[in-house]
Amino acid sequence: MVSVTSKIDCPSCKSIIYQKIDFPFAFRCSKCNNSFEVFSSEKINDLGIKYNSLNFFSLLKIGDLGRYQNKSFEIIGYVRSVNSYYISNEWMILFSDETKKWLVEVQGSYYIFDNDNKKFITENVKFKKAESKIKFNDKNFVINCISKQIEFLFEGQIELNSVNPTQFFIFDMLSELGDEIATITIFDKENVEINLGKKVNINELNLENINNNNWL
Amino acid sequence: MSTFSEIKKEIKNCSECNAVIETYLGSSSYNVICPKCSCVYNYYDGWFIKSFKKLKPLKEKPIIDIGTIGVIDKIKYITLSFVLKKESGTDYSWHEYTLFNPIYGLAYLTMYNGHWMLLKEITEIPNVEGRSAYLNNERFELYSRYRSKVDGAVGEFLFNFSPDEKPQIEEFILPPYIITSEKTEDNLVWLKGEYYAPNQIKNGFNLVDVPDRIGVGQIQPYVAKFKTKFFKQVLILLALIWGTMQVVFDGLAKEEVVFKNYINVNDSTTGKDYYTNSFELKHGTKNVEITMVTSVFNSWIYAGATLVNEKTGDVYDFELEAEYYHGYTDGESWSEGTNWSSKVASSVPEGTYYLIIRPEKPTSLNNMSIGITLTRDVFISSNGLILLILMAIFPAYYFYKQRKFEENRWYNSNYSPYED
Repeated sequence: MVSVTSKIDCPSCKSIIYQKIDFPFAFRCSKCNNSFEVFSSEKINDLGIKYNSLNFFSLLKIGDLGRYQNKSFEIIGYVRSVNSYYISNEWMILFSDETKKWLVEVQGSYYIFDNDNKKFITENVKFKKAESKIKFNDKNFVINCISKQIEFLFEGQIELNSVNPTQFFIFDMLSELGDEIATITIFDKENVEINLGKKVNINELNLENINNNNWL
Repeated sequence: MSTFSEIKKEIKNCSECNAVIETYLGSSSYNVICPKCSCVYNYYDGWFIKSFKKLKPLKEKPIIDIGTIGVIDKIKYITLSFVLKKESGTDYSWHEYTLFNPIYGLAYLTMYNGHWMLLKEITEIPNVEGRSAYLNNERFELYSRYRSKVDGAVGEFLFNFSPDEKPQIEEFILPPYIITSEKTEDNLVWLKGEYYAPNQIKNGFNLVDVPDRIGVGQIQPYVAKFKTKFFKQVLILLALIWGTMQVVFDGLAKEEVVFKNYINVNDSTTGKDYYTNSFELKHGTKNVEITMVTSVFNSWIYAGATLVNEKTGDVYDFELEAEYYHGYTDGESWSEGTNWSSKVASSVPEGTYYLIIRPEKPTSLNNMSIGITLTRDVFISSNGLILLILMAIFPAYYFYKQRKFEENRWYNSNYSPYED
């Protein structure tokens, strides 16, 4: 399983944080609810993000263990992105070989996204609407949702570049063949990224805590 | 620190009317609607705050109450919301229930005129060509295009509930399945649905009663017990059995010629009886066929024939008439009739018989020789035809009923293939 590399102290309440990912990263302290960006064990800054702690339904939680494609993983972080259409629950999963992916849940459907956002050409998304087609990696995608992030919250540990509390546009897309999905994130004119994923059945993740779930 | 919990009932009070509002998914819900005053609340950020969205109070009560747990196809669902929907510009409405299972996600159960269907979102994009949509090599036919609108709602919604939105809907059917697209400027959803009989919903959700079905449902299957494809296979099998029977019976018929002779017909013999020698009919009780062959041309010739049992005196009468005409009209050759005739008597017992033949001809016809043949135990193809007609009665009835059923199904569609 994931090895614990080192410990740091929460600058606010002195709780011990077991570091799961490399610098730079962000964490939210489960004791004092303050959020920090961590560049090194000596350089820790308060992110200044304040938000409510929520109570909501979820099959998953930070610390859950599972196995996907023959690799064990641990859920180490969580992002809740509320956009103008839906709520996206995004779980950072850290595999035993130190690679990371995002396990995303939207309205009870689950998706696995790669953790390597690629640059995208801004011109290619101009004037696009739902049902418009966009080509990427020689594959046709169809836009199925255009939305705008309006709320951001995170828990646990995530990579620092995943902390995006601002408002930005999101283009969700389905491949014409139905085998892949993609999300284009438009932070500003110069900063557009695309991320590829695919739909998964939650049972494929062999999560330890849902084996006896009475909804199975 | 946020709490990730199981599905559990949470009670809130409406700030407008103080009614009790039950929620089950906490802040996983984007919006929650009061069952009494239809006030819409935002809940996504943890606060239960009244939104600016306006919604008319519900005119109809849901058949399935919010929070009811039911089972469809062995999957357990909790009922999260109920929406009364209408086609924009019309008066008729239908029910839409949002069902949720944490493992399998959302499903939408709809009811119109007592007909139920369960729809789930799909990630494939069907290929739409004209009035057809193709999904996994199956062709669905366009049934309707319209804009839907919300006419009332209650419960909790995992997405941003927009009561003012009027999405463009396209529905394609391949009973008992349907694929449907819902499109707005910013959103496109494809769903695939399947028909469910009222009892499946009643039993699945432990309901006291469900509305009776009215008319034919949009994707109601024609026959629940077996499919048309299976029925067609049975028909092909029956046709093969019928064909085999024809060949076998033809092979079993002995077709034994028991009498053959030529009779000269002239002005002196016409209308007079001709007696044949005796002959034996064997093989128990079988049919006999008498045939008259002539060379008549642009005229007619007739022969009355009586088969007489020497011992019992039983008789079997036949009338044989041959007429054949040929000519040219406007340079075109034409012909009418035949120069031979044959008749069959079924169930003739074995024994010694003779024939009495009384030929007749018009005076204009020259002398002519007619050939008379009596054959025992012949294969009668018309029997097979009768059997075929009998066999076809049920399939014809089945397909007639099916056509009527399909016409009724498409009655409410602007794209019916049954309209002239």
